[in-house]
Amino acid sequence: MIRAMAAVLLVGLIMVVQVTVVNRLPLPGGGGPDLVLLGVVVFALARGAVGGAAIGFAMGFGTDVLPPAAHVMGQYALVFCLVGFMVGRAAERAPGSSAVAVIVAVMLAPVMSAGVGGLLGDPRADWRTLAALWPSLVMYNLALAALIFWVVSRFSRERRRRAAVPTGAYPVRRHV
Amino acid sequence: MRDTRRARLILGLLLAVALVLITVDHRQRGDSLFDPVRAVGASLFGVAERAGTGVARPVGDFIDTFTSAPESKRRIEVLRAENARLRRELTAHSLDRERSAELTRMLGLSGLGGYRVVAAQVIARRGVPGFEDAVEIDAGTGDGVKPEMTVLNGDGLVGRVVHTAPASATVVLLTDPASSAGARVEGSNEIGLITGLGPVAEGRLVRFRLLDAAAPLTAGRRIVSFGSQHGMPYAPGVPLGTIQRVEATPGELTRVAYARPFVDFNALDVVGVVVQAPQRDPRDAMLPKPPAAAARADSVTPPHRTSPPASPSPVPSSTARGAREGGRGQPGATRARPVRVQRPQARSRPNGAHGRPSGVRHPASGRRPSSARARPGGAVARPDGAAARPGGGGRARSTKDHAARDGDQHRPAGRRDHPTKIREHTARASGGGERGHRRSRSDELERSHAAAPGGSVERLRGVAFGALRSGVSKGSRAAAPGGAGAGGPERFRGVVVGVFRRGVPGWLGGDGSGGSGAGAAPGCGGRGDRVGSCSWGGGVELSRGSGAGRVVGVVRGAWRGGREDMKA
Repeated sequence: MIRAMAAVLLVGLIMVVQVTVVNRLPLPGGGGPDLVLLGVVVFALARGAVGGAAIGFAMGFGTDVLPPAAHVMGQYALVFCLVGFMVGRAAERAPGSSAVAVIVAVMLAPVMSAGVGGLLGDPRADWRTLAALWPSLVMYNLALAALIFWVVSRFSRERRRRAAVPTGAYPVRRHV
Repeated sequence: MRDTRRARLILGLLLAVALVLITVDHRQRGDSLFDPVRAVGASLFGVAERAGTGVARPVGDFIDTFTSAPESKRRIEVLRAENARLRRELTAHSLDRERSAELTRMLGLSGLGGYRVVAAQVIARRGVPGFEDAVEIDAGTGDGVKPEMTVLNGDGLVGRVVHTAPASATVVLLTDPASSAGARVEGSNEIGLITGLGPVAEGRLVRFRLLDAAAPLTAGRRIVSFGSQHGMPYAPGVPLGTIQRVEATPGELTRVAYARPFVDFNALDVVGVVVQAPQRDPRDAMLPKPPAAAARADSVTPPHRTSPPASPSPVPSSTARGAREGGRGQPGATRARPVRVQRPQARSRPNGAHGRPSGVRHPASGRRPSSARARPGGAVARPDGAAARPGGGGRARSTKDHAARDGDQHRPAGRRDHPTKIREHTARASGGGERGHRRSRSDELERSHAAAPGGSVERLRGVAFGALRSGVSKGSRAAAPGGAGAGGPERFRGVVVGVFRRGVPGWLGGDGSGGSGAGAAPGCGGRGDRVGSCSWGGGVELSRGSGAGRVVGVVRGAWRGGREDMKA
């Protein structure tokens, strides 16, 4: 319950930070990291396909509803739902290749968003715009994803190592 | 497997929902069913966003500070440079405006006087650290500026040019202690010298030495330049200043006053060099609007100073013409030019006021008589002198003894009563004005002035040299004490009618002796030429002999003979 509430708060925080801070940073290249996407990816990695899909849908829907929104409602819900499901499924099927899944998701997400927009006849979803923007979006997202993964793996590994200490690190004492 | 199916189911469901959302929203773009949802989201997230922004903005600004620091620095540099440039331009602009105004005023003034001027700007100044008061202007020989030219600005006389370079010139200011200029009191013909007082006075005062100690001089009267010969170094009629204070100088030959120059010598900027003096002396035309005092002075003076006597007798008129001429067309000699000041005889009106008016009466004869006859050195011949001479010469000679005889009697009277007497005569002359009357008066004066002039030479020399140095010469009035030693009555005074050639200094002291019994009367004898009336007081001068071509004259009224000699 607490974890669920923390997750909800975290989601809200991520979305707010995305629109209030990240999108306003004058970053070179025109693009910027997409915290919401990365949040969905991380959640999906942790929760699997179903959880990923649900979280993706929820965060996408939140993104659709979030005030500065001028796109068709459900667009990001659809995209993030798919992303969450795929990443979660990949994590379930091939736990060792989560990095690849993340990279693919990060690279595909903008294309999917643009694709959905294009299908809906959004005049702003232009291939040329996407081509200009896509590299920077991918680079920022990958960099941020790498950072997140490093942090997460560090913490989790440390916890694991600490758990291992009593058994492996002090054999003498154990024998004594 | 179950798990997978469930997952697929859920995914399909979610995707279906999303598609439904999209469809619905897309199809009802105008008034979507989801507007309430958006509204709720907006209110919810709006609060959060506001809070987030509130937290994030300082951070963002902080980050901005760093990210934009180089850019800001560059911009600061650029802005600072631009600011400096604008400030400079502003200063230059206001400076230009001031200069323009000054230039306009200067041109207006010189236009008033009919001068041709070359505008220049002061580029350097020598002042307090040294003793001289001089400025450098940015006009030189290339602009037609030559040494000994008058420099003025919109307010009045500034000084004169002493050295010139191709593109610059050195101007000695009026306030320089070594500079002096002839000056004339506004509305009258009283003349004197303006001498600078140097840094002590901080350019605020100059000394005005009125040559006629008996002339009325009050604070508030204004003075203009008297002018030098050919307008160099001082053009006539340029406003000089206002008399601030008159010193009581008992026992002195001249009266000393202090005048405040019109020009602010501490803030000189745009000046004009007079390259051509006007044909006619502008007189008082260039003075700023006349204050009440001046008007009063004018109205007062005529009766006994300026008003023309009814009948000009040849003698006075000739001298008067000389004076007049000096003031008008041909200003007196330049400074540093020795002037031979002849001692005016008693006959000459001691205070010189009466003769002048007669000159006014005879403008035709009075107008630049010297131009025709002047010798290279600036000797002045008086046109109608010839007529007067024959009689005058003899008379002068005859009166000489007479005068000498009477001199002793008169001397004890002291200098005080002398002016008084003169004034009486003057009054009488202006009132009556017939020739006979005049002559008798002049005889009387002659008699009353008769004195051995020996002692007066020194004094005369002083005065005369002062005048010479100052550029007052032709047309200037000169005076010398009579009697032996100081304290005696004034022996003579007169108007210089000619000027020695430049570069012949010291004649005054050197050949003062020997003349026709006049003892040391300057200019008499000694020069090898005949002197018409070097009787005791009326010395004069001439020169064709040793002095070759320069002569000088003197005195108003006193001298009757020898004009031809001068001429010839």
